[in-house]
Amino acid sequence: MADRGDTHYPVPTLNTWFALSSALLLLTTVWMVIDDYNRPWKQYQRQFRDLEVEKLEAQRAALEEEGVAEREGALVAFVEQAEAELASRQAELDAANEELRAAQGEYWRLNEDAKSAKAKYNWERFLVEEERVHLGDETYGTEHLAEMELAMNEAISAAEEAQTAFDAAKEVVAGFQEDVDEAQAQLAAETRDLTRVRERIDQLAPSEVAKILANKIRDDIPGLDFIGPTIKVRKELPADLTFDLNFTRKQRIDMCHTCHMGIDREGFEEDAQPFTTHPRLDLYLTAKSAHPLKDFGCTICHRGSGEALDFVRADHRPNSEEQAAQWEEDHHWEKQHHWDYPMLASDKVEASCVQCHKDSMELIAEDAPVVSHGYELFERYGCYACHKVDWFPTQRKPGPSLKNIQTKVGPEWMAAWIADPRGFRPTTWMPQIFHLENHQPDEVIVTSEYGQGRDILGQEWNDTAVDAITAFVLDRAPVQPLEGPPVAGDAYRGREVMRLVGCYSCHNVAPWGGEEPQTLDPVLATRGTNEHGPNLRGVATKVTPEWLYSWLKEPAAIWSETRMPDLRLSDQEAADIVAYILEDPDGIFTDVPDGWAEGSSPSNREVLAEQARWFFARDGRATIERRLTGEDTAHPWDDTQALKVAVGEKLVQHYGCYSCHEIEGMEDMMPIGVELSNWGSKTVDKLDFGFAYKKELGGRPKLDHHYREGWLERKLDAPRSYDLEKVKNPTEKLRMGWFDFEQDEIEALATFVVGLVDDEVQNARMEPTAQQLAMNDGKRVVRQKNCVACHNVEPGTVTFRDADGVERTVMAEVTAFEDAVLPMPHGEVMDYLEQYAEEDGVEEVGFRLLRTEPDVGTVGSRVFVPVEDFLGATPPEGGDFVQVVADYYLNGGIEMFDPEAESEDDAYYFVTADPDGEGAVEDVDGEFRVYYEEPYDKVRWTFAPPVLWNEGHKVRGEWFFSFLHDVQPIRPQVRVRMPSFTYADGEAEAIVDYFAGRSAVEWPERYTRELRTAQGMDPVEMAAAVGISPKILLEIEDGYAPSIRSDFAKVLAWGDDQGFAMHGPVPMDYEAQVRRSPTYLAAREGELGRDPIATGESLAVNAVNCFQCHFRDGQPPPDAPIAWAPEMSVVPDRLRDDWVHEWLVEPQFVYPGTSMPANFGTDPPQYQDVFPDSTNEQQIQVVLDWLYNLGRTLRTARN
Amino acid sequence: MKLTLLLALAAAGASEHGAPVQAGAAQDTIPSCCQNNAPTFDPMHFVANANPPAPGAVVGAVSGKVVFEGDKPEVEPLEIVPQKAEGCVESGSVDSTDRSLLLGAGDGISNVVVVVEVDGAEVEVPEAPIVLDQKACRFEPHVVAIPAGATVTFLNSDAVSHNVHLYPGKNDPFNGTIGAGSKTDRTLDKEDKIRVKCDIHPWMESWILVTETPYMAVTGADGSFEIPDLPPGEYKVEFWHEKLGKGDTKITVGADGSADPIEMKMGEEKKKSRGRRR
Repeated sequence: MADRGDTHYPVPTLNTWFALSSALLLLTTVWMVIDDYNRPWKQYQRQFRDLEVEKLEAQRAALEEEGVAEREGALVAFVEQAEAELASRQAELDAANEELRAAQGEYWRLNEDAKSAKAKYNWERFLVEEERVHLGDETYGTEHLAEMELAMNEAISAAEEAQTAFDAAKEVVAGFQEDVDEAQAQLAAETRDLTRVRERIDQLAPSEVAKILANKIRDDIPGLDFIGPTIKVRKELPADLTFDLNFTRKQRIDMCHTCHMGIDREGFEEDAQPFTTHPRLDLYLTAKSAHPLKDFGCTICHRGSGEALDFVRADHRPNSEEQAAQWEEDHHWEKQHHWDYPMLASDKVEASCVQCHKDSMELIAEDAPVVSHGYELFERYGCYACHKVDWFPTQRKPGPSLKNIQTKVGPEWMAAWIADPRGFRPTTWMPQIFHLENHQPDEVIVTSEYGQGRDILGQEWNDTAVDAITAFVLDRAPVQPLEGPPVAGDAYRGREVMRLVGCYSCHNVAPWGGEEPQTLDPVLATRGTNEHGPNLRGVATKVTPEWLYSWLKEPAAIWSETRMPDLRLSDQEAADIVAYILEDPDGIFTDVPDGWAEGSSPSNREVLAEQARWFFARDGRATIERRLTGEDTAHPWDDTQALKVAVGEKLVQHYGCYSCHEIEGMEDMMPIGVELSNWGSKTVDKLDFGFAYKKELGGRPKLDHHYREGWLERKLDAPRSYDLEKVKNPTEKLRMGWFDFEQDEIEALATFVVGLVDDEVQNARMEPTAQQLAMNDGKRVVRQKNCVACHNVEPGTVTFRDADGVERTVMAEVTAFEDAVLPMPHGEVMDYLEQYAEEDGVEEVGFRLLRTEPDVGTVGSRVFVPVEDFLGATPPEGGDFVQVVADYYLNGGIEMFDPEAESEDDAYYFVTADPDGEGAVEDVDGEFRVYYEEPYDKVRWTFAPPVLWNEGHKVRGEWFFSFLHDVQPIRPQVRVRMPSFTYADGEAEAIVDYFAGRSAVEWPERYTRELRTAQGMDPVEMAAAVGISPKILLEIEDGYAPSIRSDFAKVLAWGDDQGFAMHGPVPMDYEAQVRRSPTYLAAREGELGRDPIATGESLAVNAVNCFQCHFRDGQPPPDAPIAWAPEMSVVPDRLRDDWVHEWLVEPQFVYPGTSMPANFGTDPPQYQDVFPDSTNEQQIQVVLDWLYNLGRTLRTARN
Repeated sequence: MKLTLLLALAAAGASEHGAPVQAGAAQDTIPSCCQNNAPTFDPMHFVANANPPAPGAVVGAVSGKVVFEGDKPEVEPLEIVPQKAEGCVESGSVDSTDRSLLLGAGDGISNVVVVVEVDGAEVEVPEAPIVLDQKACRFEPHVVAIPAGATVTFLNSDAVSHNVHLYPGKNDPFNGTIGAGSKTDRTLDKEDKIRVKCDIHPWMESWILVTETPYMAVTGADGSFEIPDLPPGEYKVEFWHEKLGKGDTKITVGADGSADPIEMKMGEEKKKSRGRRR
């Protein structure tokens, strides 16, 4: 159209613009649609769909190859046949249906009649009874009622008959359908997997053209794909999980699995991100796990932004700088500056466990090893003493009491120690406070304007401070003299006492500086449990004999909260140890690290005065100056000693020494560290990164100021480094001490502290059951008392490939390479195999099963596998000290090395306290005996600390509790002392409950394994017999705790049906006295026709001869200690009779290798002259009757 | 001084109990126990050979003697606590000879197990069980060599209970009480050296050697042995003694069946010194 000139704008121009903008709009719309179509998450979902189809096709092919398809064909034919059969009998079926209908009608009719007859009768009876009351005649209408009742009963029985007929007709009809139903059920069961795979393939990648088109249009056409149900945002809104968004609590919405499609599904373990399966589906995401996706989402653990559908906005966290660079290139990744909860790096995710598991930290140790290690280090290094964590369960002061410290160490040792604790003991937990980064030797701490005319440098500042603190501590501690040993000690006996009594279960004497020890003496190596107390190297140069003797005799008298227990040492034993340590014939206790020198710290009065000015600034400058000149007689600081003490006190307060150490008058002061209860929620802008964060420091990388963890790790590594390049006055400088943490310790501690967050998870946090709480507390106490140093509480495992090529892990100990019969310490097995096995021509590895393993063998049996099928071994839980004891007896002493010997062979020799030099060990009866030709098992079970497998099942809780409080040796020949600990409230109970709980938890597993072994069935057979799936059966056998209760009930019921007897888990209210009740005994006598106690006694004492080995009422058996067995008279109080029963049936099943023989295991049964016509079980039962009446029998005998 | 006192006490204790003292028991006399072995089994001449020589085939016998080399050790009598030995013997005392190293005429060592390795040799398991008796509180015999798969009957001929405690390397462990006059059977089917002890009477000890070859023998009182029926060839002969450990040598059985007698010398291994003080 031409321009008529009457328009405001030229129309052609407008048309052009319109056309252009239309085109633009169209283009933009297309662009938008395409862009939406190409959103990364949609691309991921399409990729994932293809990936899944690929896997399903592979599965289908595999299933078909297995012959499932053929089987399916056969089953379908079977169903068809059944259906055809039914069709051929259609007439009969119709007739039956007709009959059913008629019977149903009849039943309904008669049933209505019966109801009506009942109603009529009741109504008539009401009327009659009313009339009876009215007339006062009790007999009125009796006949009438009887008639009515008869009629009613007839109607009811007619209805019942009709119902029976109706039910029968129903069964007839069902009978026709029966074959078809059965065939269909079988078809469904056998092809379940194949059907599932096919259906899913059909859903994702249909084969029919129409379906393909429909799906394509639905999923894969830009602009229409929103219709498709497979491409969609997936989100979880875990109930009540919120986060803090600018002072409001906001519901968490996690959409992470929109892209991470395979995260909650098995089968994508090997695929690349974002499709990878979560590594722990047993614990997370799945509905059966403890943390289902719908209840927890993702960000509560991983942090990051859950609502983001974009790689960058989700605030993904790179694990390394290389990964960050890669991400920048691939995804234009950058840190989201305004998101306060950056995702945690993979190695720190465990931090999140803490928020919900404060009451169950001990229980998660296996699944969250890093954060649990951090938690333990936090306790071990005493972090909690300075840094409050409101829920932290341990409260004791971690350092030794400084009251009476003069009786222990001299002032010169103390000064050198304060200045540099690691100079004396490189492994100490005491932090170094002085001579750190913010007090460099030549750094000016106070300038000349303040410093009275001269600069004061870091070196002299620190030296003087150390001297002042030493002066104060010695001045403050009141002296109470200690008694030395009342008898002369013998160093060589001391060496044996120290070795055998148990000192090295908690202490070690590993050489400093990592030099290789010249002998294989186990106490020269650290192994975790023997680092519970300090390394004792060098202590002879530190302590006085009086202190050492008193400390050994009663540690708690010197330090009330010490973990060192009372070993009930005799005066002589304590004196012998004192002599051994202080005389040090082996050169251990006088060996101090190179460069260590005691000596007073150089101190300077000018510096001291300056320190007084800073630390007493509140008193006013004039006052301070008056004191310094001695004008103030109440503070005569012109006396340098008085000044030192005054400044020392301020320094002790400033650095918070009293937080860890008990110091007279400072018991109730507040700790000095920052509270860490919610440090992990602190935003990064509240952290002072200082000026040096952009530099590498001490080999550690420069810091990224966006993340907390790096700050924390550097703080732990170099605590004062945030003062670098800053000018601060001396009282404001950072104060945290340096602990010389290893890198793994830093990471573990940082993980734990990052996990200390505001409580965000009220409703998701784990609420432990009473049993779990008891287990948690018990596990902590067991760790803190270091019970596992001596006691093995759980056997180690061996992994091997069995004859079918299946990898199996069993509880076992490696016992033999070729014809060696000594069990090898687990730590050495793999080393041996790697280094020497080939050279020695080892072909087989043997191990002894320590728990019944169905399909492998019963407990105690030996298994040999070719060396190439032996895949590994893990150490037992606890019992390290057993090796120390066994080595001592079997080697005939401690292995020593004489560097001046003529030949290498002569250089190694063994020592004991044996004066004849025969390698004999002193027994509790005072005699020396040689043990190096005894079998290992004999020595192990006789002289080493007992194992505590299944201890809760073995001993009675009441006895255990009283034993812990008042230790009465059960096996006096054992020279290792069960310590007398000081228990805080609830600690002994916690230990008892812990072992009871362990046994109860293990119970279903033990029962099922024993049952299946006894039945000799494979898992599929037994599962079918019990009526559960084989997978669940194996889960029960593996101790899989959750969700097995109802299934285990079925196993139990089936076991009962098979006549399998194994007594139940540990009932806490167990009554030991049942076998003493007169009713029980009378019933037993009636049943047996003889006195059960007398028969039991005769069997035990005369036939079996128990007292040849067992203690009888305190009387030792007539032989050397190696043949001694435990006291019998404590059995009723101490042992649960379920356990004693198991023990008598086959001791080797309980403790493989024990000297206790199976007394009632022969076929035919023995001892028929004592107890005629008796079975083994009857014999065991009468012996139990006798045992549990033992106290009484003995009393009777004495009377 | 303290230690000397303890020792003196220990010595006094021993004589109080009247323990039989047989210091320096003569080494060249054979104890009565070892002359008569258990009735059903003669370990000295036992061959369970599944490979009997074909009639007329040439076979040879390997014979020889194991003699002791080096300083003769002093063997102390076993320590037997009288209360523990109650009921063991009707009269007199339990034989306290330590049989762990018995030297006979010409320093011949008895109870050495001799095994000849022959490729492809099969073991025939004897039908009659091999009896290890417990008699007068000693195991009889002291050393027994049996083929793998054989059954051992542990018999208690005493009037007191014993227990048989096996310390096997490869066979399943066993520790069971055998009441007076009772017995129990165990089949040992893997090659092994099994120490046998009685925990009730700690001095009782014996050894069962389970071999996978029929060609084996236990040396007699004078240290001699003979293994018959060996086909011609060159073989390795292995020796084992509970105290002296292992040894081996080679032997050739000639085409005519002849073989030179072996004289095997065994001595004590050098042990690390014990108990020296710095």
